[in-house]
Amino acid sequence: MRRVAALVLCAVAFAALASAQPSYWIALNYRVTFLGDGSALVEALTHPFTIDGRSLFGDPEVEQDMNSSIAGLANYTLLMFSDNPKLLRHTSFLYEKRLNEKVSCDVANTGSLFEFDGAYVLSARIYLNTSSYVKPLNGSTFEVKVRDSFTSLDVRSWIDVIEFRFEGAKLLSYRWEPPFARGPSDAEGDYLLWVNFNEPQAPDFYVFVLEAPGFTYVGEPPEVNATLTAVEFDGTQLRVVVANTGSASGYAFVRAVYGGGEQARKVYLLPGGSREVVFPDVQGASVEVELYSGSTLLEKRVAEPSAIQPKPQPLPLPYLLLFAALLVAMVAAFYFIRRRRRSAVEGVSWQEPTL
Amino acid sequence: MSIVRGIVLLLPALALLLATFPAGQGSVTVTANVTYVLAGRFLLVNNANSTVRDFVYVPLPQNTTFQKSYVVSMDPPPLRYAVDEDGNTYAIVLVEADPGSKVWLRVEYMVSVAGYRLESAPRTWPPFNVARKYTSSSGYWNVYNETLIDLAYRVAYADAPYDAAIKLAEWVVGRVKYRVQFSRLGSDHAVVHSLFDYAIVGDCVEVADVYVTMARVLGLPARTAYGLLLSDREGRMWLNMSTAMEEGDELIEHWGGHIWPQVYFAGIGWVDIDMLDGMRANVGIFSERHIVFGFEETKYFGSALSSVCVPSYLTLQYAEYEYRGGSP
Repeated sequence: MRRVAALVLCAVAFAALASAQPSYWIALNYRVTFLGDGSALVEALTHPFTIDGRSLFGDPEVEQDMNSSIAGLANYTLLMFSDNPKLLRHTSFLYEKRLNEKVSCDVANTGSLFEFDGAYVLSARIYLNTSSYVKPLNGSTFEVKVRDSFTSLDVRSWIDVIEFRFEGAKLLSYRWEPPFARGPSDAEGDYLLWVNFNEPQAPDFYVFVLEAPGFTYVGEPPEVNATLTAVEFDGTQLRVVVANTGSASGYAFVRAVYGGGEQARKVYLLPGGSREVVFPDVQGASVEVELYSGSTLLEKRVAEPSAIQPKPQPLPLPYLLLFAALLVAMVAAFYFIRRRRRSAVEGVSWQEPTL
Repeated sequence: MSIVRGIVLLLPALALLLATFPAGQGSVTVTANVTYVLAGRFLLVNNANSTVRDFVYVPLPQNTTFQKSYVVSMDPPPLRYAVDEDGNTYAIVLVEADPGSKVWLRVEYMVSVAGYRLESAPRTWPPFNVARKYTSSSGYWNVYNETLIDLAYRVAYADAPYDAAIKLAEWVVGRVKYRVQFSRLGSDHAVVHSLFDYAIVGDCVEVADVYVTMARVLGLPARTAYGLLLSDREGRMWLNMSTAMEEGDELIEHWGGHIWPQVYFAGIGWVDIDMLDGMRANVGIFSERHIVFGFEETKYFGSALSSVCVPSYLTLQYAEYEYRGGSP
């Protein structure tokens, strides 16, 4: 359930805008169908209502308001399957008004489920092999996490009812997080139904191990095609030049792995552009340099220290002062020894000057 | 004579040793310790025509390296303590209210806070998994905004992470046009170009969002911390939701809700950068007047828990904190 007017957030004065917006609640149901090709058909069913339980389905003002937030709902839907919706492959979203659907929720937290007739439905097919919430296990077997992205955004929001169907994909096991949340109210071989009366009962994550014959893990696709055009390592500092060889701009990661340590830098590359990346403090006999974009390892090289002498580190001020004092002392001591030696040679005893 | 000669021979060796002495990874000095008793009360109103049983979410002062917190009391008592995706602990309180009625929720915490100062400049970049996790894009931190990418690389790209963090802080703090904002703009809309230069328009939220986005663009793991910035060791702050918008910028005279960026340095951890505390590039200079209630790390649209108290069906009308600080 979502309280629409409460989606305004400010660390200084949070809910002050509430009165300026239409205050209504949205019953939120999801239907997720896992398919044999490793994709999932996701349908979000919504129904607006007042706190007294009066349906606002078909109300022109509310309908217009809900239409203006379709992009937001689409984003939450993608966020159920990935931390990075930009890199998640999916079909175009379809938004429609269905009169024959029912949407359920516990109006005003009374402990009983109320069923509304009619739904605004937003649907799309999501390719799970690009999801950051998928962990490949063995061949066509994988674990997929479905997040309640609404509760993740706002502790007050949650998915009231969510049903999972398995068509072509075989359900091997399932669990939910946190464990104190409620389990499914209906569980058959190819069907699971969660009814969440309130937010504390609703799981934050629904986790499934599935076998889908058509599933091939891809991971997050690379944002850029890039290569390492220079790698120089002098034993303490690593300098790398990364060039974008493709026509798209985006991010790549340079990772330096060395005796017992590792460091990484993210760089943005324009099409045809290149960027010098320096790691000023890398201590090791050799360093392995890896270049990633998305989940893809684009290139890997090993760099040995070159003949270049390590550059001395700039000294902090106290050390510089001490160093200067030592130099003065060295000169003075050297001068003192020379004077003593010359005095001895000339046979003249040297005395402190007197007044 | 032989002693003098020995010293002369040792001096170059000592000088060489000093010249090659490695710069430290960075150390932190605690500058102050204060223990506060923090008492809050929040007025909740039922504007509906029916009785409401509402779950109210109450963010709590967190436990961190520089802060230790205890819940002394909460009325009504919490049903449960829970932890969100970003590791923030909060309380869930069940409040029942008749139509039109008002309910007070009262809390008391004891919070020990340490102010600190970062003593040297970290030069090591973070491990791969940290860099990936804390430099990603989100609704308010769009790292694909080309204007912010261009600006970040022009003003703050550096070899060492500390240098990038301080350059960025200096750039940001020099461009703040402070204005209390009642909705979160996100970094995409907070940076505007005026006649000669860019400006960051908004309050602490916008300043933090711009810093975090540009830091993430540069590969610096960054997040926000939210909570209170106290004006003194003892005082009272309040917020009336029905008059807040009319008050505008005057609101900060009596309310200290705050949010600020943090950057992760390898070997040290998360370091605070509250540029609005004194309008300086405070990289790792953190006063003991901050009380941390949570962090925004991975949530795509930030966290609703950055509010003082989060009801669902009820309406928060008024919030107040009284605090008294002393030596631990």
